[in-house]
Amino acid sequence: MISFDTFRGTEGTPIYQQILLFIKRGAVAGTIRDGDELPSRRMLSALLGINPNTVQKAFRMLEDEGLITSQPGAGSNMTLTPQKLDALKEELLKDDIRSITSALRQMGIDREEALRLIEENWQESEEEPAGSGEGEEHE
Amino acid sequence: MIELFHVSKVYRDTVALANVDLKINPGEIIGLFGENGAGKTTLMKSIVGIVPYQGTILLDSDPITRKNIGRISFGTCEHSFFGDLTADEHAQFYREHFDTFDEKRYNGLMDFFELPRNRKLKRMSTGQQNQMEVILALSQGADYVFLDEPFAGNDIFNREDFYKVLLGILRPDETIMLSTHLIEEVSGFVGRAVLIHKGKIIGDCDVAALEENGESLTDYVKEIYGYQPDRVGKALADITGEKDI
Amino acid sequence: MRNKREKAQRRLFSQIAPPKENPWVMLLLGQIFTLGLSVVTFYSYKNRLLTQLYRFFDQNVVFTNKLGYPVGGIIHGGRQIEKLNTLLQGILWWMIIAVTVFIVYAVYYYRVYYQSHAVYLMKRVPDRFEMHRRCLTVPIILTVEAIIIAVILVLYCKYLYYRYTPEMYLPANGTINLWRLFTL
Repeated sequence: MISFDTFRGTEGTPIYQQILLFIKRGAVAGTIRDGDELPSRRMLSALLGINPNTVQKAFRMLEDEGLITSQPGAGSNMTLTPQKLDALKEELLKDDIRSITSALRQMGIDREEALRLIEENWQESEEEPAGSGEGEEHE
Repeated sequence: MIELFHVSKVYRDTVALANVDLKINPGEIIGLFGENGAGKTTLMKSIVGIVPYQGTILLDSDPITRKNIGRISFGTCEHSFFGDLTADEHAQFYREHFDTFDEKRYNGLMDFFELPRNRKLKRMSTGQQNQMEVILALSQGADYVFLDEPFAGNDIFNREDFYKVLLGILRPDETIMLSTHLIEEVSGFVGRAVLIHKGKIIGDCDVAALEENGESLTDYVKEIYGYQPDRVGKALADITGEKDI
Repeated sequence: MRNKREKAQRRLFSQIAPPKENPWVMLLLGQIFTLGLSVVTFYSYKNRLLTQLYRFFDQNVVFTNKLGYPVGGIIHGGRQIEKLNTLLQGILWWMIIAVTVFIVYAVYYYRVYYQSHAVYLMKRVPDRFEMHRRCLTVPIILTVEAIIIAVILVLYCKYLYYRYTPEMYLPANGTINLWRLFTL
C-alpha cells in the first residue's frame, strides 16, 4: 500500500496535481514500485481531508497517463514499465529545470551566472549525504 | 435532489431570504458561506422545516413533510439535543424515531472521539457538545445532512479530524451542506461553494473548477463579495478626518 | 411490523412528558389538586343546597334518610324554591383555577423544548405529535378528569334538588345556565 504520510499540501497548486506529482516523484525515486496498491479513493480522501471529487480526478488522470490501473471493487495498482519510468523521469526533470530557469531569468541572472550557480550548488550538495526521499514505503 | 424555488423569508422588518433558487444534488459536499446575518441559518432551517417560509422546497419532487423529513438531518451550533439526556439516551430517541438510524456509525464516531456515553450532554464541554450534535445528525441515516456552524468552539485538530472522518464515512450519495466562517479550512473539503449575502445567493461554484483556473476559494469569495482592500483605509480616513492615509 | 407496533406502544406509555420529567408524579399532584378543590366545593354547596331545602320544610316534620338527606315534609307558605341555577352559581369556580394550573403545566413542558432548541429536533422527527404528546398529555388527562368530576358534581346536586323538592314548589324555568356555574 502506498503511504501518503509524507504528503504535504502546498498553497497555490491544485491538490489533484499535487497528488499526481507525489506519485510521480515517488515512482522516480523508487519508493513507489510497479504493482504497488493505492489506497481506495474514499480512504485517500479521508486521509488527506480533501473532497472525493478531487481524489477521483487525480486517479482519473493517473489512469489516463497509464500509471495506474483500476479494477472495480479491487482497488488501483501502479503499472510502471521501465519505459514509463524513463518518460516520467524526463517529464519531472524538464518541469523542474523549466521552473528553475524561469525563476533565474526573472531575477535577471544571465546564462553564465546561472551555470556557475548550479555548478557551485552541485559541489556543495555532493559533500552532504544525498537523498530527500519523497515518500517511504510501508507494508 | 433538493430544489428551492423562489424561497423567501421575512422576519418582521428584515429580509432573511430573498427569492432563493438552489439545487442540492445527491453526493455533494457543499460549503455555505456568508457573513453573520447573511441568511445561512435561515436557509438551512427553511429546508429542514424548522421555520416557515414563502416559496417551494422539494425533495425529489415531493414537498418536505413528516413523511420524508427523516431523509434530512440537521445539526446546529445552537444545539438541538436535550441537555438532560445522555448520549446513549439520545441514540435511543433517534432509534425510536428514525428507522434509518446507523448504529455502526454512531458507535464508531462515539469511540473515535472518545465521548462519554452516560454523561448528560449539558455536563459535557462545548466542544464535546458540538461533536455530539454532529454525530447525532450523521447517525440519523439521512440522505441530506445540514450542519450549521457545527464546530464553533472546537480546536483545529478536532475540526480536521472531523473533516477527515466525515470524508471516510460518507456514502457516495450522501449529501452534506456545511455553513462556516472557516473558508480556508474547508476549501479542500467542499466540492461546491455557495455564497449568500443579504438573503441572496450571490455565488455558486465548483471548487475543482476554481482550482483549475488557479484561483483559491478564498480569492473567489473575496472577489464575489467585492471585498475592497482599501476599505479599511477609507474608513480610517472618514473616522479620523485625515484625507490621505 | 410487530416491532414497529411495540415501539409505538412503548413510546405512548413512556413518553408522555419531556425527557427526565416524571409524568406520573405530575398526574398524581394534579389529581390531588383537582379532587381537593372539588370536594371542598362540593361540601360547601351541598350544605347550601340542603339549607335551602330545609328552609322550605317544617323543621318539625322533616326526617332524614340514612344518608342524612331530608326526604319529606311540609313546605312553608306558598313560596317556590330558588332556581337551581341560582343555588349552584359558582359551583365550578375551582375548574378555572385547576385548568389554569394545567395550562401552566403545559407551558412548563413546552419551555423545556423551546429554551434548549430541542424544538428543532422535535419539529423534524417524522412523528408530528411527538412534542405535543409529551407536553399536552398530562394537562389534557387532568382537564378531562376535572370535567368528569364537574359533571358528576353538578348532576348530583341536580339530583338532590329534584329528588327532594316537591314538584309543585319547583320554579318554572329550571334549566342550568352553564356560564353561571363558573361565575362567583
